Amino acid sequence: MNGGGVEVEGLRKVFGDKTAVDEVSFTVEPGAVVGLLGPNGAGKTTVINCLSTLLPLDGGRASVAGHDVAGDPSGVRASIALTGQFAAVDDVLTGRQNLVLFGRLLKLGKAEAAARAGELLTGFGLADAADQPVKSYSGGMRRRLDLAASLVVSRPVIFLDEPTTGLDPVGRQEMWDVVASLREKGVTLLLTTQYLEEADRLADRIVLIDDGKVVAEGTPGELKKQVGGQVCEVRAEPPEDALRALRGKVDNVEESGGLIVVRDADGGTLADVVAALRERGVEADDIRLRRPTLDEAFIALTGHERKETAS
Amino acid sequence: MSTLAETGLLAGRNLRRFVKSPQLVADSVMFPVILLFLMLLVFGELVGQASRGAYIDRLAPVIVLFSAAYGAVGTGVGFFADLRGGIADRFRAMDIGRLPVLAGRIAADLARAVLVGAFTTAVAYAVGFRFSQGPLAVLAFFAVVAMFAWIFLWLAVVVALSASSEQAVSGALNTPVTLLLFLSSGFVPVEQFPGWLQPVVRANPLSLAGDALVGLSSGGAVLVPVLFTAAWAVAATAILAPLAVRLYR
Repeated sequence: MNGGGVEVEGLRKVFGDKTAVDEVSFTVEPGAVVGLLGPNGAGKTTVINCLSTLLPLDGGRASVAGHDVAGDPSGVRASIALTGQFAAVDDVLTGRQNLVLFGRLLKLGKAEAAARAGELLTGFGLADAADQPVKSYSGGMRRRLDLAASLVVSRPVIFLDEPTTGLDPVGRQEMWDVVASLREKGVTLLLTTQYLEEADRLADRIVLIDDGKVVAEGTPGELKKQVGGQVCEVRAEPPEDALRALRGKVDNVEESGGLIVVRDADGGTLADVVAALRERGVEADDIRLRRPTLDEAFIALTGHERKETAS
Repeated sequence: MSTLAETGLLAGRNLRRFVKSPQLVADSVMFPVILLFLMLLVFGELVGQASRGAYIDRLAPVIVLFSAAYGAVGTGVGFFADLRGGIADRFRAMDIGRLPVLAGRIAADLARAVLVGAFTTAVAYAVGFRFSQGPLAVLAFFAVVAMFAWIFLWLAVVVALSASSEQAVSGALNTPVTLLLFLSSGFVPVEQFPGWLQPVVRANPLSLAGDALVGLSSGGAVLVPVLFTAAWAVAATAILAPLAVRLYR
């Protein structure tokens, strides 16, 4: 099911005097999973809302599965499924009634809608709660039902807006499994997240967005590379001794969370670090070279820390 | 899928919600009924002597209409919850029309208004209210109730679409509904209002529809008040329906 991707070119969206989305461009190849990563208020949801025809564009153009968002909104709507930040299901109705309603609205026949609802409820582990009102569902169950509602009929492109925000670790893992199975089916996926770990894990490509602008784009690996070389971490007690030993001998040294961190490092740096520590007689418990995390990438690329930490 | 079929599905959803929310059912039925007994106790004697005929013949239609207008507050709040809760966005991102989402809401709540109206009428029956104009007049009676509800349902939808909070929705609807109720000829005959207020009381859709209902239940003028009520409904549709569709785009 390779029904086409998503193309966004110079997308702009203005609310009053605030530019929520400013000249955002990116592409999602058919069948790819792209993560729109950014802190709260970066404009991720606005991008999704523009692409799913909920908001008119104020500039630029975008197409979804070959349909222009502004020129053919109905074509776009017929090609997408949207799972928003809030579980967009009826909490008075049962899970089954919700899915049947959406199925019928999506032009399935009565029997077909009922059959499909049953399949999805089983597939999403909701069979036992199928005839309970959604009000009684846990947060994770609601999200799963919400996602199931998006999958009542298969669409080539799926938008997932913060699919795991507010879920416990179990709920998050279940959501990740669902995304993985969608990817296997060849669905084009655009998801937004504040969690670096999530983007790293789910997405083929990451579009890092901050304050309405794209600040970086690439595969998770490329983004890490863009931030500079590797990171050398030194664990020593007390860390101040190691810090004093390294100051002036190697560049980009800082203390971070009880560790001494040397950024933009390579094998040579590692040798320098070892030599500098030995010179001052500082015994290190652990010295290692690693690639930067996306958290570090984020700070390096946007110039500020993320407002929420990944868990 | 046709607009009609989509409307039917969405109306079915809204009706189902109503039936499954006992608190909502109780709330939409209890208040009008309490008001009916209260007014009957307080004003029954007083007004009964001043006007021709039993007070209940005059009061019951007004309470039925009030229950319809009062139900529209629930419509506004419920629709607002849909808009904020995300389900309205899900509908908007689906390949279905915009009108069915509004029409499904209106259709369901119209049915609800007539049901609640029928229940209130039944309660009024227990305390002496009677239909004396034949079965066709009974049907026409509830048609007028629906027509009257229609005005307030569109108002409620527009308010929900433009409000910023749930409190704002119920506030913006409760005030005019309460004002209309007390500035109507339902509780007190028009002649007993101060002279300068009488034109307002006469033009009040609740007075007009009330007159129509009185005519259709216990006898009296029917055509003129029905036409005036219809004029209100047409005007409300012409102004509010396009506005609602535009706000929901």
